[in-house]
Amino acid sequence: MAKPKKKVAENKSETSPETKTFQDRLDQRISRRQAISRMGAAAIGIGAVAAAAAGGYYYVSTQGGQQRTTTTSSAGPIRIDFFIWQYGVQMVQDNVARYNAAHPESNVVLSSVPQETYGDDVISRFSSAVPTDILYSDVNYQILFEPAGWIAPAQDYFPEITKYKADITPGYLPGFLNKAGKMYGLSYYGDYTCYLYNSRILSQAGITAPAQTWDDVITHAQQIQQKVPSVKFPLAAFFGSYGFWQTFYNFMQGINGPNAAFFDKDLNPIFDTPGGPVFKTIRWLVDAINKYKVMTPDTVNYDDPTCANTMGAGTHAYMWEPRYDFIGTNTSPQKEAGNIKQALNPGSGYASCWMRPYNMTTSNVKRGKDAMQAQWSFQQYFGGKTDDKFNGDYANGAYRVAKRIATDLAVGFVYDPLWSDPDVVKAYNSFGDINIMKDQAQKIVLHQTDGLTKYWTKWSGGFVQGPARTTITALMLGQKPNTDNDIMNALADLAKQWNDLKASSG
Amino acid sequence: MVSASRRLRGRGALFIFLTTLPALAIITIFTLYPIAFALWSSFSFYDLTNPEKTGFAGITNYAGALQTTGFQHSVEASVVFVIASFFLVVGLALGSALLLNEKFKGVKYLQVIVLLPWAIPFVVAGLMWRWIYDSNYGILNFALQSLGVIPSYQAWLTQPNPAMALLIVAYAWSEFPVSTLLILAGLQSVPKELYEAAVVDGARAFARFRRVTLVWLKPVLLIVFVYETLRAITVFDSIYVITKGQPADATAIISYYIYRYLFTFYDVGRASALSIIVLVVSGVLIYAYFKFLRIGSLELRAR
Amino acid sequence: MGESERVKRGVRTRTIFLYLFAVLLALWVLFPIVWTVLTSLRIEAEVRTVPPSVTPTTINNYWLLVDFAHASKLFVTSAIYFVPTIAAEMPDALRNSTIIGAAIVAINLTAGSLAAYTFSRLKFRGRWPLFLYAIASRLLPGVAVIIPFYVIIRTFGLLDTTLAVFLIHAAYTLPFSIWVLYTYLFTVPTDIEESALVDGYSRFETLRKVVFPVIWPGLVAVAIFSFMFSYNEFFFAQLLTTTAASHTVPVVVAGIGGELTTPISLVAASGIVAMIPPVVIFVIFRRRIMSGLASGAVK
Repeated sequence: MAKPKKKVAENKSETSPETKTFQDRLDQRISRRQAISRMGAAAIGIGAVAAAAAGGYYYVSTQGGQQRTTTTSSAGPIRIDFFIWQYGVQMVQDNVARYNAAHPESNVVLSSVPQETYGDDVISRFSSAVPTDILYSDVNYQILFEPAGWIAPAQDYFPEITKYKADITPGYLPGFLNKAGKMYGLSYYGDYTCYLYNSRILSQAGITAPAQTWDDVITHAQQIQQKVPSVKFPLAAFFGSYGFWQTFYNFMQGINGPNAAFFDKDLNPIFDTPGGPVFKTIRWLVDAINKYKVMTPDTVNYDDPTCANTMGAGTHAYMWEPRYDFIGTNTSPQKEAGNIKQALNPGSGYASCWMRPYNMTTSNVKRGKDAMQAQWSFQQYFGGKTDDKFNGDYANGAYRVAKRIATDLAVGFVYDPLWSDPDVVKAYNSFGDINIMKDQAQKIVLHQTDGLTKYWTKWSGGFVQGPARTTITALMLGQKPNTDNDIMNALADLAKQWNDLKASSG
Repeated sequence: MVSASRRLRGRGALFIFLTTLPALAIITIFTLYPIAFALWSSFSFYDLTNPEKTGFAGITNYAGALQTTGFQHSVEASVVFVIASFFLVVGLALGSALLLNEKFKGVKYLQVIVLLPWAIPFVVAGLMWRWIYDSNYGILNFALQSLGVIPSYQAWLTQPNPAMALLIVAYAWSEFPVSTLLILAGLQSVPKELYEAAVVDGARAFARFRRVTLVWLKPVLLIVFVYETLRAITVFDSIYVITKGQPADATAIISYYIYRYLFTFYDVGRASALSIIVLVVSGVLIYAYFKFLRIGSLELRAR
Repeated sequence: MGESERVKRGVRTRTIFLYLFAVLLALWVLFPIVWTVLTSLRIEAEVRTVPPSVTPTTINNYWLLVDFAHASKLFVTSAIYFVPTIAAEMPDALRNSTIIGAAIVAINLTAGSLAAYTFSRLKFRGRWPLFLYAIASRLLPGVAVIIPFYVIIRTFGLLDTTLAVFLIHAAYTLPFSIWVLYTYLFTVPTDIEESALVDGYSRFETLRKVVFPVIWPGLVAVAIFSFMFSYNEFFFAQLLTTTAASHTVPVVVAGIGGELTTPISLVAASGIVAMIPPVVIFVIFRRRIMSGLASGAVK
C-alpha cells in the first residue's frame, strides 16, 4: 500500500500545453465543463470513500473498543468496567465470562495493561476521567486515590463487608483499612516473600540443612562457592521491578524481628538511629555483595522471571522471591525442578507480606445504586464468597475466584479457611510443602503500612525509583562508599528529605 | 486570460483546500491542544497528591526546576548520551553510506541488511540487547570471557558507565539505518560531472571527498544532524526496556526521567514545566545547527 | 613498476578493504538478529546455560505466536503459569499494526501532499513556522501530553481502538510529511504549472501530470518514513490500548517481555515475528525506495 494514490502519468498521449491551438482552446472550453463535472464526481467519490472509511472505522472501533455511557440505561445490561494488570489474564477472562453468563443483568468488561505501567496508567486514566468501576489496587495506591476523590471505601456503601475480617489472616488486615478503619474492598490476593534453597546444591556442598541464622547464610554461601564452582553467586533476591521494598523489609524483618520499621507511629523517621534495624539490614546486604561477594550485584535488577528462572536453572543456591514464583521455580521444565525447597526466613523467622485489594471507584458511585450493586455483586464473586449462582453469600458461600487463583496459578490468598481446602492443599503440595507455607503465613508483616502516607512514594519510589531506593541501591552496588559512617550519613540525608516532605505536605 | 486562470485557480484550489481540512483538523486537535495543555499546566499548581491546591502558579514550576529531584543528574546523563550516541550514529551512518555507495558484488543485499534494525521496533531491539547483556547467560559476557577480557561474567547493567555505554550501543544499532539511508540518497544524487571535474583538476581521493562530496552533502547532513539530535533527546523506548534508568538513575535520559518523575512525584505542573524546558532547549539547539552550518533559510537546491 | 600495475594494485587493495568493511557491517547488523533467532529456537529451560548453547531444538515458540490456543495445549505443561497469554494476541497485533501503518501511509500521501500543495500554491510563506511546528510536536516529551490525549480520546469515545492510535500517529507524521513535501514543491517551477492551468487543465490534471512526477521521490520518502514511524511507535500505542482489539506489535512484544513469567525464548520469537511486515516491505520496495530517495529526495 506504499504507493501514491495519484499515479504518476508520464508521457501520456494527450497534447502537451505548448502545442495548443486556438481551436483546441475552444474544445477545451467544452472539456472544461467536463472537467468541472469530473471534479464534482471526484468530490462526491472522495467524500463517499471518506464517509465509508470513517463509518467503517467507527464500526470496527465500536466492536472491540471501550464505548461507554456515563449513565446506566434501563435498556440492556449494566456495564461494569474492570481494570487489571496483565497476569493470568486468560483465567480472569474465563472467570468474567462465567460471571456474565450467570448475571445477564450486568456486563463486566475487562481492560488490562502491563504490570510495569499499571500504576502510571491508572493515574493517567483517573486524571483524565476515563471511567472505571472496579480495579486492582494496592495499599500505596489507596492512600493516594482516596483523597484525590477517585476511589471510595466499599464499607461506606456495603457495610456487610466487615464480616470478612474474621477470615483474613491477621498479617494482611492492616492493608484493607483506611485511616478511619473502614475497609476499602475485598482482596485479589495476598502473599509473602519466601526463602528457598536448592537441596541438591546444598548437599553437594556438604550442607545438611538450610541456614537459619544470617551469619550462617554467609558461611554457607562461601562454602558453596568453594565446593560447587558452577554456582558463582549463591545468594540472590527479588530487588528489581516492583519488589525492592517488600524484599528489603523481608531482610529487615528477618534480621531484626517483626517490629523493625523505618518510621514510628507518628510518621517520624527512626531509621537514622545509629546501629538501628535499617542500618543493620543495609550493612548485611552491602557486605554480602561487596565484602563477601556471595550475592550477585545484579540482584537489584532481578524481576520475577529472573528470580524464578535463575533459581530454577541452578544459578543460585538461596533465593528470596515472592511465594507465587515458587511454582515457576520448582516445576518442569526448570532444570532444578524438585530440588527447590522452602524454609522459614532466617533469623526471627518473620517474612514480609503484601496484598492487593479491589477498589471501587467514585465514578461507580456516581452512576447510582444499580451500578454500585452490580459492581459489589461482581466484587464478591472475585474477592469474596458466593453461592453457586455467584451471588454474594458470606454465610454459606465459597471463595470461588480466590480459590481458583490458588489452585490454578499457585498464587497466595488472605483468607485463612483456604489453607484447609483440599484442592488448595493438593495444588500447593505439587511444588512445595503446604505446612511450611502455612507456618510462614503465621509469621508475616505487612510492610506497606510503614510510613503509609501520600508522600511515601515520593520519598521511596514505591514500585519504581525514588530517592530512598536509589540511595540504598547505590550503597548495595558499592557505587557509594559504604563504611558505617557513610551509611549513617546517607540515612540521615534520607531522614531530612522525609521530614521536608512531611512538612510541606501538612 | 489572467482572469480565467484566476477563476480556475479559485475553484480548484478551494476544493483541494477543503479536502485537506480533515488532516489539518487532526493535526490541530492532537498537537495544538496537548501543547496548550502542557503550557497551561506548567504555569499551574497541578499536584495529584494535593488536589486542593490549584490555580495560577506563575513561574514556580520553572523556578524550582533545577532543584527537582534527579533533574540535574538526568541532564548530565542526557548530555553524555546525546553527544556520544550522536557521534556514534552519525559516524556509523556516514561510513555505511559511503560503503553502500560503492559498486561491488552483493551491495544490493547489504543495502537491505543495513535496513534491518530499522524494521525492528525499538522496544523489540531493546529486549534483544538486554538478553545479550544478561549478567548470567548473556553472549556478550561469554564473548568477553572467552577473549580473556574479563575473568568472569559481569553484571554490566548494574554499573553506571558500562550501562550507559551498552545503552548507547543498543540505541545506535537501532538508529543508524535511517541516517544511512538519508546520506546514501544524498550521495547517489551527486552529479558525476563534479567528480570528473575534480579529477581533472588533479584532486586526490580525500580532497575530492572534501570538496565535492561533503559540500554537496551539506543539506543532507544538516537534516541528519537535526534528526539524530532530536531522536537522542527524545529517546524513551530503549531506556524503558533495557535499563529503566538504572543503575540508580545513571541512565535516566531526560524523556524517560520526566516520565518517571511524573509517576513518582505526581506533580503534573512540574513535569510539564520540565517538558517545556526540554522543548525550548532542543529548539535552541536546532536553531544553532542551522546558524552554524550557515544555511539560512532551508534552501534546497533547485534542479 | 608500471603505472597501470600500481593502479591495479591500488584497486585490489581498495576492493579488499571494501569487502572487509562490508563483512564487518553485515556482522554488526546481523549478529543480534541471528542470536535472537537462535534463542527463539530453544526450549525455555535450556536457554539459560553457560556457555550459551546454540543448537536449535524446537519451533514451538513460533507456533505459540501463530496459534496460541492449540499450541499451548500441546506444548506447554503449566500453560497458564509459564506462557504469557498476551502472546495469543500476536496475530491480532500484526493485523492492527499493518492496517494502521497502511492507513497512515494513505493519509500522509493524500492529505499530506494536498495540504503541502495548498500551502505552497496559496503563497503561504510559512516555511519556518511550519518547520518549527512540525518539530515542536516531536520534541515535546510524550509524558507532557498523556493527560490531554486521554481526554481527547475519551471524549470521542475512542478508548482502546485502532482509530485512536491511527489519529495520534497521523498527528505526529503529518506535520513532517507536509513540511517535506512543501519544501519539495518549492523546486517545482510554477511556470509549467501556470501554463498548464492557463491552457485549461483542471487542477487535478495539473497535479497528476506536472507536479507529482517531480515530487514523486518525496512521496516515496514520506510513505516509507511514516509507515516505519507508525509501526515502531510504542509509547502512545501502549498508553491507549488495553485489549487485543487494538494492541499493536510493539505493545504485544513489550508485554510478552514484561510479564511476570517471561520466557526469554518466546520474547525472542516474538521479536523475529515483529520484524516480518517491515522486512517484507523493504524487500519488495527496495529498488523504489533506493531510487526514489536517490533521485533527489534529499538534496
